[in-house]
Amino acid sequence: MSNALLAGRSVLVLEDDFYLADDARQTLEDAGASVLGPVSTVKDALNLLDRTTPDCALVDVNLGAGPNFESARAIRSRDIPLIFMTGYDATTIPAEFANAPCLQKPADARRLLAVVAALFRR
Amino acid sequence: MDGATVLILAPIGRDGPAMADILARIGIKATVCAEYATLIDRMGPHCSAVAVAEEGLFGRDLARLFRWVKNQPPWSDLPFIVLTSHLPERRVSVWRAELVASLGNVTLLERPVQAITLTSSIRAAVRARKRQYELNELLSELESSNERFRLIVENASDYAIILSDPEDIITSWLPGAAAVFGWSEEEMLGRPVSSIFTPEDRAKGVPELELNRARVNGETPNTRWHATKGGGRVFLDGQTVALRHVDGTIRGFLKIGQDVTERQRNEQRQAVLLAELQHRVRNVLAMVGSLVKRGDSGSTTQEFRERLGGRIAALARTQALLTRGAGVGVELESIIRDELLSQAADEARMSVGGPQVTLAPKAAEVLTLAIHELATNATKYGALRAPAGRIVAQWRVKPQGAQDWLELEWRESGLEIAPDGNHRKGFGTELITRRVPYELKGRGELNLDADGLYCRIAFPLKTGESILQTDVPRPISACSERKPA
Repeated sequence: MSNALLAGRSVLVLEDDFYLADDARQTLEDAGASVLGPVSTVKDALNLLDRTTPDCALVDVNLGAGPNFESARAIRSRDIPLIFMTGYDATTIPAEFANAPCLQKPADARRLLAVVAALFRR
Repeated sequence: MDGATVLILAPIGRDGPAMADILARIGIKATVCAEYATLIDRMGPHCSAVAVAEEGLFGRDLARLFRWVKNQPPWSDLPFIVLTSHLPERRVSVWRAELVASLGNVTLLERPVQAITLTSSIRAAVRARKRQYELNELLSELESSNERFRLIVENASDYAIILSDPEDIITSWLPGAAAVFGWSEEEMLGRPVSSIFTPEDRAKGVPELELNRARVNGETPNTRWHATKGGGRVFLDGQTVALRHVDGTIRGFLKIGQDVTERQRNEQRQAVLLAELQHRVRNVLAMVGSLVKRGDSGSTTQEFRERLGGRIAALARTQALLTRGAGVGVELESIIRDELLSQAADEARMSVGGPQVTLAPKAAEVLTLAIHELATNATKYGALRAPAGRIVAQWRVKPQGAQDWLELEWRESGLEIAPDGNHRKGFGTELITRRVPYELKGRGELNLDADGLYCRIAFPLKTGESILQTDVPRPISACSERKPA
C-alpha cells in the first residue's frame, strides 16, 4: 500500500550531497512519486523549474557554501510548496518560510515520507 | 595668601607709621614704603591692598603703577585706598579723576579720616583680596584636574568621544574618535554626528531616535555598527548623553563608545562556526547512515562490515584534515599515498605522480573515498593481490574553458583477467561514475581492460572555501578599504 502513498506526485529534490540526494530519490520513488533531479546546484534547480512544475520541492538549506535561500525563494514565487532539509538549527530558516516544514538531518525514510505526504494533505 | 601685607605710602609726617599702628591693632599686617619707588618695587601677588596718600603719588610718573595694575592676572584686582590731599581743588581734580580711573579698584577717603573709616575700608579691601586668592587657588586646582582629564581623554584611543551641539553638529572630535573612525578633527568639526552611523541606520532614522531617547532619558545606549572613513565598519559599545544648561535646556550631546569591533566579529565568527559545526556533524551522520545502506552486491556480512569500517575511516581522515583550520585544502598526492599505504601496498609496485594540486574540501572528500575504494579493490581483487601487479596513478591539470580541470588516471596492470571477469558494480563504481559528476560537476569512468582495471576521473578545480569559512571579515583598521568578503 505504501507504494501508492505518493502516486502521481512529482517532487523536486535539491541536495548537494549525492548519497543523501540518491537516498531521498529512492525513498520517494519507492513511495510512488516521480522525482525531478536530484540536482545539486541552485542553477540546475532553476533550469528544471523553467521546464516543469513539481508538486513540491525538497530543498537542502546548505548547498556547499553556507545557508542559502535563493532557490527556496524562486520555488516559493512559483507557488510550489517546499520542505527544507537542514543540518542547522531550524532558527536558521528566515521567518518568511515559517510555514514550510523542516526536516532535520539525518532524516530517515519514514519521516521524509510522512512530511511529504502531510504536505499534500494540507 | 600667607604673608600678605598692606603696602602703605604716606611720605609726609607720621601718617605712615600711624596707619600701620592702627592696622596692627586690628590684626592686619602692613608695610610702610618711604617713597613711591619703594611701593612700586614691593607690589606683587603677596600685596593684599595699597593704602596711599595722594601726595605720595602727585607729580610722579605713574606709568609703571598703571601698567602693573593693567597687567594683573585675571583673578587679581588689587584694591587701593586713596587718602585725598590738601592740594588745591583746581590743580588736583583732573589728575585725581585719571588716578581713580586707572587704578580701577579704588576707595577714595577724604581727609581728615576717622580711624574707624580707615580700618573698615582697609578691612573690606583685604577681605575682598582674600577672596581673590581663594578663587585663584580654586582656578589652578580646576586647571590641573582639567589637564588630567584632558590627558586621559586624549590618550583613550580605543574610545571614541564626540561632543555635539543641540542640533547634534560635532563640536569636539577627540583623538580617540579620530583613531576609531579614521576621520581627522578638521574633517569632522561642523558635520552632523549622524554621519558616523551606517547608511542603513540613517535610512531607518536611528540617529534621530537615539537623540530623542537621550533627550527624554538623559542617556541612551549606543551599541551598534558605525561607518568609518575607509568605508568599513566599527562596532561601538557606549552611550549618548544629553548635556544640559543649569536651566535644564539642552546644551549638546556627548557620545562615548569603546571600539569592540574585534570582540564583536569574534562573537559572530564563533556563532557561524558553531552553526557550521552542527551542520557538519549532522551531515556526516547522515552520510554514515547512507553508507550503511549502500553495500556491495553479493558481499558477506563480514566483508560488508570490513568495507564499511574502511569507508568510515576514510571519511574520518578527510574530516580530520579539513577541520584543522579555516582555509585548508588537501594535497592530492598525500591522499593517494596515504590510501595506498593504509593498504600496506609495496611502494616498489606503485608509481604516483603529477603536479602539486591542493583540493578544495568537497573534492578532497570525494577523492579520498574514491581512492580508498580503488586501493581496497586492488588489494582484494586487483593489482595489489597479483604477484606481478602494478599501479600507476598520475594526474595533470588542463585548462578547459575558463577553468582548470584535474585529470586523474588510475591504471592497474600485470593481472590476468578471466574472460568472464566482470568486476562487481558496487559502491566504488557508483561513487566514481555517479557521485563525481553529481558533486564535482566532472566525469568518472571505470573499465576493466584485459590487463587490469582502468579508472579516469576529471573535474574542474575550484579554489576551495574551507568548511570552516565564516564569511565574517577579518579585523580591519578604520582607514583601510574593506576587502571584498
